[in-house]
Amino acid sequence: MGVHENTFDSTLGAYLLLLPTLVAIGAFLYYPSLQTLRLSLYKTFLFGQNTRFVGLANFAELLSSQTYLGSVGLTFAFAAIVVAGSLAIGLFVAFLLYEVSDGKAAYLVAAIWPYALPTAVAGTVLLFLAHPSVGIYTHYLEAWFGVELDWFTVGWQAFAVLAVAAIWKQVGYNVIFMLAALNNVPEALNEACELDGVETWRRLVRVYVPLMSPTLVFLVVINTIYAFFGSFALIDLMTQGGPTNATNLMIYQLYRDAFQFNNLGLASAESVILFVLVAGLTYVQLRVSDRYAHY
Amino acid sequence: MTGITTTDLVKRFDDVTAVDGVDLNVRDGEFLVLVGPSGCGKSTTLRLLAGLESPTEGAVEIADSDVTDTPPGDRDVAMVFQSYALYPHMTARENMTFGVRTATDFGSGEVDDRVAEAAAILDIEDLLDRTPAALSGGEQQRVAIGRALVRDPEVFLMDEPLSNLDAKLRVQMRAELAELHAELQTTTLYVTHDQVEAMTLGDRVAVMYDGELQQVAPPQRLYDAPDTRFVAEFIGSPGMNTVEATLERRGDDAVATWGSNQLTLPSAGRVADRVDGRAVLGVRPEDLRQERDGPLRMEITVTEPLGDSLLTRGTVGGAEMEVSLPARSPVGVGDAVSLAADPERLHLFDPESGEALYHSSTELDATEAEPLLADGSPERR
Repeated sequence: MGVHENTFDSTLGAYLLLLPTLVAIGAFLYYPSLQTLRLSLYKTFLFGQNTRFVGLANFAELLSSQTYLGSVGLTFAFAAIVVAGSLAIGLFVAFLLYEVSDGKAAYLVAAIWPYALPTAVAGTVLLFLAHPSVGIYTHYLEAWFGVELDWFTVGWQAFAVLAVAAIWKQVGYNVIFMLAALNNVPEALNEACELDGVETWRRLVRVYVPLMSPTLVFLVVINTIYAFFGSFALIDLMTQGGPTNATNLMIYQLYRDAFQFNNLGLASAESVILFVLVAGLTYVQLRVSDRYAHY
Repeated sequence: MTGITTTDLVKRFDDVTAVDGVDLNVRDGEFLVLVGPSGCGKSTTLRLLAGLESPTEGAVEIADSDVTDTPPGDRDVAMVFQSYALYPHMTARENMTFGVRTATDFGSGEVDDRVAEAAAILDIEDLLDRTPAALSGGEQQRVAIGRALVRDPEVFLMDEPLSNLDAKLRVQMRAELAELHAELQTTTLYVTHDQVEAMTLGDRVAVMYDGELQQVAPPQRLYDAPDTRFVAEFIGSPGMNTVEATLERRGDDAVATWGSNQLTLPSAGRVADRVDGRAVLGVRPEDLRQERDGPLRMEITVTEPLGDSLLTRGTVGGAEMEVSLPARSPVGVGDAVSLAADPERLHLFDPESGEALYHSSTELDATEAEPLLADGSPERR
């Protein structure tokens, strides 16, 4: 003791060290956030050069718009499907990877490959793989599922293709975390299960999943955020929100209002709504999971 | 018959041979303790019996059927782990019932009865609805043992189950385990590195070193007539003193000499002829006593008062030795004391192979005292 106490005479030195980070966060996070909040109360013209204070009119307009409310509902449905799908498939793949003994590294690389692709590349690739007329997979999908694949014009198909793409992109991320969590399960517990002859799937559900629950909670939150925000590039490349708004998620609607219709005030209000929804959802998830997760 | 027999059991991990030709026989209803220093292969042996490892060579029989290739779940063995291996998200009761529902065909009511019974035996009835995090180490250990009891297996395997407990609790649990075994009479193989635990718990004790069995015998016999130098030095606290000495025949007897110290070994004459003048003399600290004109002279370097005795370390003719003197003996560091040895409690070991050549006690019958290496080989690495 004593030796280290006098390294800084005052807290000034500490603040100086924090300054670069604080400046960066302030300039690129807090200032834009506050600007967004401010803009959401204004009507904007000419790329935001002229503004007029309108109070909550932007919010009122949005909440009375059928298109916008439809987009909100669509986004929740999309998020539910993507979160459930990417977690379920991720868990399945992670468990297979955990159980396999030969070629683990190769399988792991294969499983997380899609996550390593930039979303824009992934979107472009998938667009052509499942392209209604020239896609490589289209013929087989039509043959196996007995549907006429035409997701450029059929809304639910576009929604499904987009959800599949989003899940496919996210599974690798989940696998990494789940595999890490599985590897944290004490070996003695596996052996106790083995000695009692507990079957593989019962072991997964009754032992591994509860022990992984802190990781799973984290992934639910991260995947939710991903589903709300991360799907933008896929939509932009594959469907542009169409056909007839069938894939017009909130993040895409926001983009269009801001940069296609130049309505920055309205888009800012949408940003605020999106932020509040995701923050609220995350809070609820964490509260609910406190009851079930074993830390 | 629910004994365990292993035949020439070998387990290699890459170029390390962890278990090297073990022939072990645990009798029906016996409590056999497998003891040895860290890395001697005792835990691997246990895991081979459980089926958690598969042997490189050799066979495992449980209850007269070959289970060498049987998966662990079908061997009808229950194991208690050093780490307890309780499921942290389940209550004590769920921990005890989770495995039993898959491992046995007990009905639901029967399982509940068995849990109640095991909880009563282990005195954990009030703890059944708690999770492991809300239990102390000793309580967790009881639950882990309870989980094994509920299974009603052919064989209990215990892997250092007490080593995570504090000293006092360990002594208490030790006594309870002994009681439990007396009551249930289930064949038990118990692995530990603690020779006191081994001696107090085992009907018989198997001492293992470097992947090989050194000796399998009742505890007292292990102490009185160790088959090898390793067993002599390992068993006892502290272990036996050993010193290389020259051995000369004197009629029927023999005299061991090192430095200016001499000890007469009664009836050891024929041994002296066999070993070509050199042997390792062994004598336990408890079998040495202070005597004014004793033949040994010790320079004391350390004294450790243990309360009931004074453990004294020093050099005798250049060799490190320990002596257990009566408590409050008036000796201190730097003193020189004269010692005598109990002539009934002397041992000789082969300097190369380490195998026992001679035990002076007349109470040990000659055939049993005959030195034998566990694996029958003439030499040990």
